[in-house]
Amino acid sequence: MIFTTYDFLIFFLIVFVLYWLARRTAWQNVLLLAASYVFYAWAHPWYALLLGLSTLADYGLALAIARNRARSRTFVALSLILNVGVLAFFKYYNFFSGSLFGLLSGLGLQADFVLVRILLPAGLSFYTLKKLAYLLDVSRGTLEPARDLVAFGLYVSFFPQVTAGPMDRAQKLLPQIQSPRVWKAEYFYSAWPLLVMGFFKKFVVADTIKTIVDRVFSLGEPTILLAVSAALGFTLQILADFSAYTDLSRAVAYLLGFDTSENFKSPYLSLTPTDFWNRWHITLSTWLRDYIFFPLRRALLRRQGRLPDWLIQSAPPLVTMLVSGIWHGAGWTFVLWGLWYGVLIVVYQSLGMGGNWKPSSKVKTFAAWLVMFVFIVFGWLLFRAPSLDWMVNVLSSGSLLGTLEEQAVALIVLSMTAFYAAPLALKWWMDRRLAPDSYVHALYYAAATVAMLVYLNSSSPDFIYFQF
Amino acid sequence: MKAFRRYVLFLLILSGGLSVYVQARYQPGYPRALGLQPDAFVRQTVRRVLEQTPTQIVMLGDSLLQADVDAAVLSTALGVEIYSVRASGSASALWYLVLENNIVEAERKPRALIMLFRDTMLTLPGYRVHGSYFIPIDEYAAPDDLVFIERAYVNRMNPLEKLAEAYLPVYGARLDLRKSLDAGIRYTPPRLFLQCDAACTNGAMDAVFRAANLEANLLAEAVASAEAYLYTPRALDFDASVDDSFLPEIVRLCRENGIQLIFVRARTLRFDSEPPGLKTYMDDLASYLDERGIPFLDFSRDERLVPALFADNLHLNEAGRIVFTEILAEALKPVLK
Repeated sequence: MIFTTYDFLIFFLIVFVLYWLARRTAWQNVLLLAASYVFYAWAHPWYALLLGLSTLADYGLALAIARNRARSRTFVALSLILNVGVLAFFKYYNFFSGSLFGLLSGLGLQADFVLVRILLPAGLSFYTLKKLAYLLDVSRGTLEPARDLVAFGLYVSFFPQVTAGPMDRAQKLLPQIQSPRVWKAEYFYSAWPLLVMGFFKKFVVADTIKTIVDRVFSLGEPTILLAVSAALGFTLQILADFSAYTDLSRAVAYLLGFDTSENFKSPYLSLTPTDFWNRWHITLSTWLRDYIFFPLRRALLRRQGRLPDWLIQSAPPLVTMLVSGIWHGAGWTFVLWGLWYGVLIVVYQSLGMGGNWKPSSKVKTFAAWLVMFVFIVFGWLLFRAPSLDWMVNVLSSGSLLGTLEEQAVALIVLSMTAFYAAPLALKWWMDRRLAPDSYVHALYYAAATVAMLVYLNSSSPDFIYFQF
Repeated sequence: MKAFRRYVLFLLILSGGLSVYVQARYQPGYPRALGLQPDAFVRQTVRRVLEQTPTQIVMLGDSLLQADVDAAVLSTALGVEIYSVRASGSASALWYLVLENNIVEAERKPRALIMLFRDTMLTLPGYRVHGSYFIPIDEYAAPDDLVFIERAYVNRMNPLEKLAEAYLPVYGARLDLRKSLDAGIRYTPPRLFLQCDAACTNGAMDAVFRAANLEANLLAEAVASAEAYLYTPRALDFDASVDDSFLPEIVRLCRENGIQLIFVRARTLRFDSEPPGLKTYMDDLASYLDERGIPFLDFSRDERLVPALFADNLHLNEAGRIVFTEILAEALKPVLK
């Protein structure tokens, strides 16, 4: 089910009323768990079975770890095999099935069955990381395993988050699930601005810019100017789309009495790649940091003296960003996109512009922002490119400006990007300069609501991040 | 609380002001009639051809008809005059309108009407009726055609949409408002910076995004994604969709006007394996037509139409057209009354 559909509206109204009528926490949790499974099973009921079985397995493994610490490594390994195995199968099977078919056919085996297309269950990448974080924290002793199966099941499947995050840690969400919740008006007052911004960013900005961006990326050989303008458009689209989902998810969670994590903090104002990943998809980047970057860095530091310093410094960001790229999708463009950020982080660090670096003047700040923004846009070009061949073709043989027609189309893409980016830039400025309850904010939200009415039903309701 | 009150106040002022503007600018009436509203003009091209030439058979279909059937050869093979109404991007809504407002209105009606379709098109009244598809539909639709508006648009709307469209002028006029906004964004920069006016800009868009410039795989993916609408569980449920579709109306109009109706299902290479449910759908359609004595010629599994005869996964090539036209002529001979 998708937040921006009529089905969801009806579903949520029913859940909302029953939930707050239930009053007792145990009943509320059972209701939310059932609702989460209905939400998840809406399009493909069978995938709810996968969610349920893998939740049961991790629930049991976490309890086993707590009971038998001596064998915790075995249980963690089992969970890793299970979770990463399922994720790899669903996510990367289609990518490798062609090669597998060729191999089996080459061996003279009937292999048509290999070419069956496997549909990625929505949210699998997100809830897999949530469960892994839980298991790893339990094995490290930083988290007590949940004894209450309903609470744990709800933590994994919580419907505002199950399809595209934010990936809240058990430390944040489980205590809220286990605490009594009584309706407060503040929940609504926290939710409504997020609802307005979520719908506005989705309907007005993301879906509108998507129409022209998709067309340019479907061209066989666009000019460099066209590709760059479409990359700028996609830069806006992906932020608007994904942050819209997060806003709606947080708003829905607020209406159910939960405070969930922010995922974005003006990422395009970053000055360095490390800064970018501290602001972009924050719940994913903190996951990568805590469960890949830090453990790898610690492991390498233990071997300091035996390993060259450059390896100890560069391997953790490179591997972490590579995993991030592979997590986003099965394709060489995603791998390169991840590596691109890995290399950028290593280069910036070697130049002394690591995590805490701050420019000494406004001019330097502007220059650092501009350079980083160009890198970000290039990263999104890699990310959105239909294939690596397409990307190489555009950069190596594409003409720079092209014909007058191509320039006119590039100008349209750029003007659309500027036009639809302006309200988001204005909101950023207002949030910095004005009080949240100012008249200007109220006017902005009202205008955003009217714009949303005008743009409703204009395009596809799917959110980009569902595919990851 | 204070912030929310201010928001509601501004929302009322803005939407009230814009509603007044919409009423003054577009005069849609209040409450607004639901669905896209065709203008008063109804094209009579098909009717005129029928009245001017002695046509015995009319064929209706989309680009498949254009690619798959040579009307002149078929006409010779059957020994009757055939008029082929081929509209690329058309579907059951447009076919129904051509039948209702042209074919049955003609003084000289054809003996038979053959509709070439694929998959679930016949029972999806909301397929190809929005956006640029509305342009040919508007040409053949009359403003008072309530059955058409109801089935193509209103039945597909949820109760909230119906309320908003009728009573919220800003929502009801959203397509017009969007159009003028889009025009401002699309045409102004090229005019200012490249001295390229609206016609020049539209020409540029057409030239840059013409099919030949699109990457073949991506184009196929885009088509497949747009066509996914034909294979949703609801679309594949014949019994649930038939009563709300144009099929019963098409059958009724033909029966009342003494026109023999024949349905032809074309072969395509759209699937390695058919979507689950399509076979059941086709069986249900065949039973429905059989109960009403309507011939249904299904060529979807005809092995004579080998992949080498296809130009793409939907349309036949030149050689394929010749083969299929012969096959179709043979199949039609015993069926035509």
